[in-house]
Amino acid sequence: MTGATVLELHSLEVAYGDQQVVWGVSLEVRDGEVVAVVGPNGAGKTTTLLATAGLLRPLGGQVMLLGARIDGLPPHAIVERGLALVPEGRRLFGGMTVRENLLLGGYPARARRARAATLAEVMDLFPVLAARAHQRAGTLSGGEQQMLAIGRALMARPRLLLLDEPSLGLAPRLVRRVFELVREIAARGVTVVVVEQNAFQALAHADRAYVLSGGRVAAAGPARELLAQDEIRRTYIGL
Amino acid sequence: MIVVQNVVFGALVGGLYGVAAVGLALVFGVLKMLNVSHGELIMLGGYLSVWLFSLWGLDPFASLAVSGPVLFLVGAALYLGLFGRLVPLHDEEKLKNSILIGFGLALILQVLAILAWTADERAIPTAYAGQVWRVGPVVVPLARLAAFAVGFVALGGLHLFLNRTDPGRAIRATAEDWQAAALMGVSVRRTYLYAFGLGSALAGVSGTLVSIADAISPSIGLPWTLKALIVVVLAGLGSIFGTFVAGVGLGVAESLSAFFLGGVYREVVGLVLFLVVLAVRPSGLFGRA
Repeated sequence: MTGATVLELHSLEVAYGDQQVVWGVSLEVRDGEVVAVVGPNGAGKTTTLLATAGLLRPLGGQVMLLGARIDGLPPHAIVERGLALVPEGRRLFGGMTVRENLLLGGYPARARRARAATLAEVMDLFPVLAARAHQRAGTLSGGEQQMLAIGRALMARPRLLLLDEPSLGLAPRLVRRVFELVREIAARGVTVVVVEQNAFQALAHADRAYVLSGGRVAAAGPARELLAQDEIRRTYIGL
Repeated sequence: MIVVQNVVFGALVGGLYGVAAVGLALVFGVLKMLNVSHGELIMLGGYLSVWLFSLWGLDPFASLAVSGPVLFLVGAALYLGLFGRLVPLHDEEKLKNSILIGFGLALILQVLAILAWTADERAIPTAYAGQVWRVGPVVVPLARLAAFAVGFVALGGLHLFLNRTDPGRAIRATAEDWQAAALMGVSVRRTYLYAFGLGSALAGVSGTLVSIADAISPSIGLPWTLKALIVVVLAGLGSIFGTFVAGVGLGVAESLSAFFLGGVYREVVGLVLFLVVLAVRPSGLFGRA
């Protein structure tokens, strides 16, 4: 199941605003894995993802995607190399239609050639998006918006999909659906990194996990083992 | 009937306000910068047509094919040399600094225009300049009507570009959320460059359309910037045709107030409307909040 390294963060240091929040985070994601990054609010999870996707410039350290350094590249160049981020809060283009949002997801040159086929695949994966294709994205329900955000990222035909808090604001039934989808996407050959405050669900569906705390990696290992450790459960999951 | 005549004249002038305003709104909506030298770019577009006519006899409607692209390049150069430097700033600082740069640029362009072409007014004496179309007692000047129609068609083309093409959607996405657009693979800086160029090209088109019916002089810039600004506030951001309609509305309101209240009120009515809309509906008549 696990093959070549897709993503490698090496001693990553990142500031958000004028405050450093990520202090030397190193992690590795291998081809075909679902990796969860969990930890309390303010642990530096989102900041790590933003720096990986190029929206924040790291103060130090390296980001390697498929063996090439990408830190310092602008976000649009990183998308072209096969990384797609579903940002926290979804960040849909609310004034544009569902279809337009998906077409924008397929904007990168590497994805545009096969855009019609990818659009059909995504609509197949999310039938609700096909039904609402000509509706404005801002009029969708929370669950539908999350499906659109994920579908829009898949339109880029990514090798690596980063999901930032995909369960935020969703009802429990939809949270389970989102994590089922994560497994389904991984089964189609896309490597996935999920950042979550809902640590229990994330660990239950991931292969491996990293626990971040205070901007540092506090624990790492197979997700099920972390879920079984009493200390981790008490400190980071609240069970 | 003289009221109808005033409405017709006002609407024909107002259509050009609309075209000028869409250019200003495009730059503001996408870059969050206010280019207060927009009127000077209109002035440059007007002079281009004046000179193309007087040197080579090129019809102003034909010189649209020159003024649009040339002002696109001028806008691109201004973005690369001046406005683009503001991109890393926070929104409020970006807006303030863009206004300062625009003011400086407006003064410089105005002085350069005086040095190059003197302060004289220049008009294009086409063969069809005085022709009118009589509808009962109402007189419709044909050149102004054609300019109005061309402006409308140009905005229709812009609407199709923004809604039906990938670069157009990239511009709209960047206007809505530049970070999300960047995550879609859109080069935000290149999009800013295109949007600034496109807004300036619309100023060039407006300038040519102005030169068809009115005289061009180095000082016409500021009034046009003000009209465009009023129309943008009236219409709100996000609707091209809403902006056009607001432009026509301003033109009609000006012309009627000049007729009923006297010429001095022509300039006042726009500012009053500006204040009323700001107070009652700050997102504009057609704007998306």
